Amino acid sequence: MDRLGFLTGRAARAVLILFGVIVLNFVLLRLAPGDAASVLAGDQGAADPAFVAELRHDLGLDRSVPEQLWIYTKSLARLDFGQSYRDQRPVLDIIAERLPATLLLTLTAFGFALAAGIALGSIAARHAGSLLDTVLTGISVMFFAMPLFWTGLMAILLFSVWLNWLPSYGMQRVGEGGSDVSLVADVAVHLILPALTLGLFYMAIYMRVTRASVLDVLDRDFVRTARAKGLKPGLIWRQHVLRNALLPIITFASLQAGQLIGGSILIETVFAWPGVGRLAFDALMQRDYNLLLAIFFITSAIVVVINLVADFLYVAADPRIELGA
Amino acid sequence: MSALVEIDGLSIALPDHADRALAVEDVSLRIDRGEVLCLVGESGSGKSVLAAAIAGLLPAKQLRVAAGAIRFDGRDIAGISEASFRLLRGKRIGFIFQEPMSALNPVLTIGRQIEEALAAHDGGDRKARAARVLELARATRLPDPETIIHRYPHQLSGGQRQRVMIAMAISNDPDLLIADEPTTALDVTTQAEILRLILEIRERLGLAILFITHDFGVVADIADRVVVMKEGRVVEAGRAHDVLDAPSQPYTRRLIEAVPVLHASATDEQDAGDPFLVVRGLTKTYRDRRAPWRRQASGTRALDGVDLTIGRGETVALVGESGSGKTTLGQCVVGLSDWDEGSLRFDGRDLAGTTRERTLRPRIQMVFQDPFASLNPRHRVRRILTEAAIVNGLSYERAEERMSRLLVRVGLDPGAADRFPHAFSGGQRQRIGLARALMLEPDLLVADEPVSALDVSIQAQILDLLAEIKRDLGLSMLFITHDLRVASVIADRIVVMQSGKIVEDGPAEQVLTRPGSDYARALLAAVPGLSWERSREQIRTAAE
Amino acid sequence: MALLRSSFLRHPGAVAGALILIAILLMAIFAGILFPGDPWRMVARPNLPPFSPGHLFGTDMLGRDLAAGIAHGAQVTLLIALAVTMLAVAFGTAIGAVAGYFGGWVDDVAMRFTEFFQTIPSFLLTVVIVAIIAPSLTSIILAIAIVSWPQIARLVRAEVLSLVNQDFVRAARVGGLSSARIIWGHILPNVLSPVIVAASLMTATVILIESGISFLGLGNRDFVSWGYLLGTGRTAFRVNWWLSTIPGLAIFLTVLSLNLVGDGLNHWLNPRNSNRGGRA
Repeated sequence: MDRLGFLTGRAARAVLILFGVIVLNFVLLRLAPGDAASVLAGDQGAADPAFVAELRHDLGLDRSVPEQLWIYTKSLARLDFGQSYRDQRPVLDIIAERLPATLLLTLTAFGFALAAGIALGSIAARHAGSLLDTVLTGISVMFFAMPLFWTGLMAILLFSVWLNWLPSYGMQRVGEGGSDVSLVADVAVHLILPALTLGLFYMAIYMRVTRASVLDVLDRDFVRTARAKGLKPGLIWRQHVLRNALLPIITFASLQAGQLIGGSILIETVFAWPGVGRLAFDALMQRDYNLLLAIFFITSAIVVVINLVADFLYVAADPRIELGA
Repeated sequence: MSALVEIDGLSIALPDHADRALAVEDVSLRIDRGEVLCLVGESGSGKSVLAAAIAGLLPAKQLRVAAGAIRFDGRDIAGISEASFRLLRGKRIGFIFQEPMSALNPVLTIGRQIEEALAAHDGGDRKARAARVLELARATRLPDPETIIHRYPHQLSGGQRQRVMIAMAISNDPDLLIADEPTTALDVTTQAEILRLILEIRERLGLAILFITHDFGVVADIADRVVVMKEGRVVEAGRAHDVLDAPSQPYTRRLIEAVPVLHASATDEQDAGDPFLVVRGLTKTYRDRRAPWRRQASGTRALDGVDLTIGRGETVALVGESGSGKTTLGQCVVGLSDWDEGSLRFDGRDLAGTTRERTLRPRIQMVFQDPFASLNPRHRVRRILTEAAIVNGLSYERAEERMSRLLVRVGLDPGAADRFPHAFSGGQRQRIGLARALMLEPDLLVADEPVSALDVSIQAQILDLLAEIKRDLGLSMLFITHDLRVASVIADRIVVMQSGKIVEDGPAEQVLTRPGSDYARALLAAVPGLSWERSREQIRTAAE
Repeated sequence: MALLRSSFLRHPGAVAGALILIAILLMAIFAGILFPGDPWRMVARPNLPPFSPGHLFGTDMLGRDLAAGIAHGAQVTLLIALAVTMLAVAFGTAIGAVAGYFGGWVDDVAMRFTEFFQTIPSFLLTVVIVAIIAPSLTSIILAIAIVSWPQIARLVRAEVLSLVNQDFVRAARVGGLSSARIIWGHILPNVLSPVIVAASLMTATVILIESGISFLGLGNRDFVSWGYLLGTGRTAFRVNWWLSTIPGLAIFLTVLSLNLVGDGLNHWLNPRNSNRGGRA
């Protein structure tokens, strides 16, 4: 299989997945009690009847089911998610405002998790069977078993309530002007707890996977060949072991991206982080399902894009792309 | 000649819970400068462990040198540090492994991997190294050296990969080249080329070669001296032709006698009965997945208009190298695979492939290659043997009775029925596999490389058993093999396949002595140990 | 006893995990005997700290006994976890086995379907499903099962793919056995042990997901799980810290022991895949 074909296939798959999300949203709307318009408008009867009527028309609820799906698909493809009935503002605008905060949080957590997970996982594998390995593996097992939001609450209790070291609420101090530098520092301090909480859980996962992958590669014949050539241990480690062991991590990490963004709804709720996750929680509380479904669609789109990027990376890193197919 | 390597009383310990204490026990041997020493033995003889020990490549956690010395160029290296060993490996000791695919790093170009071996031992500056990589690619006769060094391992053939391994191993002009079964995974014609290359390199560089193999034919072709090992000990050592022609130890004699003699002992020209299986114009293409925007999918033609007839009671050996389509043909015959065009008639009836009528299936049965994969590890032998027979309508009692009879027939105890496959050795499992095929009382047996995974002594037993049973039951047999020696022992007729076509079809004796096609001639010429074959023949006739 | 000691020495984590798990199971089974009556009635002074006499885990702001809540919550949490695991394993195995055995377009369709559910953000999806279809025990179980089955399907498919071309399966086909019989009698038994391992690890993940959903307030008020307890305790957690700490600890311990047991099972059932390293 040629590389172009592989990537085209992956892109087609990405489009298919997004269409799947649209269908899923559509099905959920139909499964919900009441018709789609009343669901989207929040509690039945809570919204302005004129608004509901307009929604009904926009959604084409008077037409056949396939037509409704077509109308829905068209509007989502245009990134037209309609209005939020609470704010009376376009849903897209509301989400766009909140997206940077979530990206900051999740990317920081992801970067930390990946770097620490790979580093610790390879150290554990290199010293497999030793005390160090047992300790590192133990840490990974512990963090993997902690519910994210609970770790967050415990971190707040310890570092904010009892030790009073770190802020636990929001993204920056309220009403603080100050220079750019102090703003950045302020955000950074606010970022520490939520990013670490989210990051440690995923670090545990990457550590586990890296360790297994490295151990697997260490057993391969080509590592023995490298030794037979008399290569220095450092070179064997970098060029032969890690280079091959990290290939599956690319795919794995990109698959985890969706989970990480999903995890941000819990973390943002616990730390009152003003991002999309917190927005999703508010939408949930206020039964603003139009907003909630839009968040779901956009998050899925982001995940699909991340996976596509990972596919490109994979093609660049592995000359035998057939294996990834 | 002076000794390059002297091994003295070497013992290598296995981990505590292994089935024996020592992998290598009190072994002493020497390798002279410039000689080819063959280390021969069956699986579990400790030959590979010994080779790994010389290069300091023992897996540290599992195996360790328990006693004895390994002197390399006068210096004891049995206990030196990993760092000191590193300076020897790749520099003075080169190593080639069995599996050329898995022995190369899949994500680095082969040029890079050769260059690495140079850089590890100060192979000059970048430019000098690049020039040397090209030189090595030429010396190992890699085609189109300038391009091929920029390719990745998966883009090369098996033989080319092994050439790359050799290039890496000799890159720093070592004194010793250790080759651990370097041709076992290769086709015979490729094997012959690689053997020739290794000898040529020895000639040019004057290095010593420790060549590990299980194949006495290969030994005959390349060895100056031979060391025979069994269960970790040296059984016999001596000059190659002395050991081959007049082995002094009973074990060596048994091993050598088990090697099938190539020349067909003038087949008892039995009249091949009426055509029983008739294959006409069988064609099959394995298609790659077609990309949606492409009109036509590319594909490989596994079968390309194959015509084949097997008479009642006849044994036809289907010989070919990997990719020749021989396995695909066998799968079509037993109904594990479909074909695109052509027909298959059996006992006067048209047969389909995978959609074959269930009632016709029992009449054509199969014996598989890998004795470890062909028996369901979760079922007892009883179920393995009787399940299909009962599904096909035999009563439980009759099936049980037939099973007991067959277990005895294939040389096993009837008590074997209550055990699981893992309780048996490879040869015993192959007997169970044969009994399973016979349970359905087939008329035609398709045997796909049934002895190629077995040690040579076991191989001979299974071949004898197959021949015996075939004769007693009057079975027809399609025997698929890559090994002309094996074919010559069992076959009435030999059919040679190449790239999906049949290129030779004739009585065994004729194909082995006067092959009509170039390819069959090339295959025959590539059989290892041809020169030895002649002296064996003379010894045999002298004895008779 | 000797057996227990020797297996403990070899897999201390797995044995410890199994013991904790048994304790939690017993607590869930006998919750009604240990803490009879409705766990949600007022029994003592509000806001009693842990280790108060008669109320090991203290009470909440309405004077309800937290220990009773934990014991009864174990029932709900474990019930949901088991139900989801069984559903997901059954569905995932079916899809994976069919895809791997028949291959071709069947495999293509099944795998695109599986990939879809594996790619989209699974936690968000469960939240959306539960929120829109109305929170109930059934909707929670279904929603989590929907995001959990793909890993089983992929695992089973991969195993089946490697088994289908094994000679013993071919032998069964040559012997004239039907596809159903081959899948059921020859393939699935060989897939069993990795599936058992995956299922035990999945149960742990399911508990985490369920607690997250309940924490967000999407749980069902009539079936109070640990996550739900934690979520309601959160509002006052800066003062009554134990109200969210203790349910979280219960979740943590259960998930931890499930993971440890899963790893132990993996060593025991698939020794060739995991016999290196000193992982307990």
